[in-house]
Amino acid sequence: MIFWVCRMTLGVAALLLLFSFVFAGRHRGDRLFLLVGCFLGGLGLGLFGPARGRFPLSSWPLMVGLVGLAMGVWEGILSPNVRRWVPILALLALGVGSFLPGKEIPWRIFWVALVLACLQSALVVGFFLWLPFHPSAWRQGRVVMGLALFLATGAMLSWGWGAQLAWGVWWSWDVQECWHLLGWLIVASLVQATERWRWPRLHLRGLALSGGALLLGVWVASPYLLRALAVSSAYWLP
Amino acid sequence: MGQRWQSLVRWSIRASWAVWQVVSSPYMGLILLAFFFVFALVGGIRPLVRRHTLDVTLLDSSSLGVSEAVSRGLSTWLMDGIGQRLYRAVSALVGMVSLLRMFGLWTLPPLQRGVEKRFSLAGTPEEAWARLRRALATVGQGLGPYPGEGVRWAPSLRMGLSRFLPGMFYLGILFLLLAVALSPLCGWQSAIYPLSLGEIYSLEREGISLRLEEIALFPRSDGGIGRFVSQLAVFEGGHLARRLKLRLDHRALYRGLAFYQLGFGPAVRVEAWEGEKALSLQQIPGEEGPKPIVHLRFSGRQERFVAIPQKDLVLRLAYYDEGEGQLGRKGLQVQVIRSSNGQVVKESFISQQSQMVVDGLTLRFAFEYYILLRAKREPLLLLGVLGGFLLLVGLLGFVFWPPRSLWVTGRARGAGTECILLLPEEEEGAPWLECVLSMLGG
Repeated sequence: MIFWVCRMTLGVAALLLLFSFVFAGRHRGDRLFLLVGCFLGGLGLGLFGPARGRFPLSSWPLMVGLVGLAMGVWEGILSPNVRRWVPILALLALGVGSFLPGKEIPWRIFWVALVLACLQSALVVGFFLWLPFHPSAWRQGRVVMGLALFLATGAMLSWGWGAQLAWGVWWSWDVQECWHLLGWLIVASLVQATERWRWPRLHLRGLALSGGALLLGVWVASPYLLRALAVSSAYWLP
Repeated sequence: MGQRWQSLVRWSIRASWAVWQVVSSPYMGLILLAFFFVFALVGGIRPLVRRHTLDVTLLDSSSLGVSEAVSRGLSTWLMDGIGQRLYRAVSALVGMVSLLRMFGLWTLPPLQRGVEKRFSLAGTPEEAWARLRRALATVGQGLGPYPGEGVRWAPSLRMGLSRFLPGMFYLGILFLLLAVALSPLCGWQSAIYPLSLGEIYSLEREGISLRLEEIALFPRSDGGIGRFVSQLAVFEGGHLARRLKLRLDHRALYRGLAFYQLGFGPAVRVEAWEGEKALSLQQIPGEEGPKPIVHLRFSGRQERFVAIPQKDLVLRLAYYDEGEGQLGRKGLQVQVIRSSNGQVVKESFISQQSQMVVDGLTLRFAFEYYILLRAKREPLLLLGVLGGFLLLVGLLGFVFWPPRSLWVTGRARGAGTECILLLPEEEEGAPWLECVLSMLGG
């Protein structure tokens, strides 16, 4: 349970830092995103240590993560504008703290894939939920969708990498792999559509919202869904 | 003859334009994505009945439910029948489209439809062109020297290596498709082989044999299995060549040959001794002949039969795994049956290594594990990895250095020079364009 809370906290923190990067210097919310993201990131990293039976600053990845996030907090408080490199630095620190393992934090490439997939779904959904408050954020649509596609591709590739290392097959039309591919295809279709057509004209918002929500739901529920349906994936379910 | 040749050239150019229009159309991209969507959907909804051990050989197909049988039939039809041919055709089409789009991004083909931005600049065409070049350079666009009055349009491409980055996405797709298509030709993989402790698996094709020497289990704090490390001995020419360590998420390499531990499962070793003499055992059903030691492999709750022909006995062994993946929660119900009349001679439930005496015969049972092993030669794996890396690089290129299609012309008009920028509709109002126009005073 504690690991689930840690992962969720870290995932939300990473998402907020991504938003603060996208909106840096353009919206008032960027500072709030940065501060809350750093706070949640620190909380997640802080929980990781005790959950593993260690003090929060007893391993160097956790230290790097916490120091990077602390820098983000101070920048968010003191700087007149959020500079774009700050959220990226905080995000990197969070990634180092969460995923670069010390001996006590096991490396699981499939977790990385899951986190990336959840992030891309949350990014798409979050962006479209954010739009009513900031209509001018349409201009950021191409960048946001590009980042979402990048995250989806990263999720697919990391999953394939893990499968290749473990079973020697990086693609085998497995349930989990197909769900990764479905997510990638939805985001790729949105990118393809937004590349040539303008967003407001085609009213792609509903499509993107429902697609992103579907993916997010599937990803959050997938291990439980598979068990509930008594369908077992060929691969290990995290 | 000359006219016919010219018309042929014109026709070829028109055909090329038509192909380019289709290839670069967003509809084409969406149609291809939709095809893969259907395939992914079928793959995603079909219930896989394989267990995490991948022990497909142990499945009993008659025990499948109706929904599983239907979904299996559907997936067979779509994944192996007509769908497979369609999948190959779509993959080939994706490859062709990717190739053309990649060259399109790197070479900038002329625009068929676009928005014209007209403005006048003071000075001769060469001077105006130089101003235009400086203005475009500030937004990262390069422009060649003034081509003269005779040439109507000149392309403006991104400066530096960044102009090649978006094309890397399509190059990555091509590499991945090539890796998939050529793997069956260049690579090789063995069948999935279950290997118990002490057993030997011969890879005759490679001239080596493997023996499972050791299995190490590392439990988690909740009682589950945290890590499962097995040690293989590789023999070449009858001599020990190397010892390899395998984990579930870690392959081992030996002379370009990769060994994967696909999974593991519980097994029971059975021996029958009459004094100092080991009797032969025959697994029923079983392809192998009688052996003094039998390794019975299980996948969940299952039963197995072993015959002792010399003693007119059959062993019925039912394996129970109370907590799947939990250490120490397993048991074996053993029934010794006389094969001539079906009488149960002795029955016992064992949960650890033990022995049983029946009719002066000592039966020994020991719990152990087996692994599922696969050997692969995969020379094109690097191509696939490179393809994946290029995909990510290309996506970053699309986000931070998006491709810009821009054509420029300039001609003397009165005392000044009239310049025209031709660009796609979606670029109208783009910040970089506004920046260029404001620098030129337009």
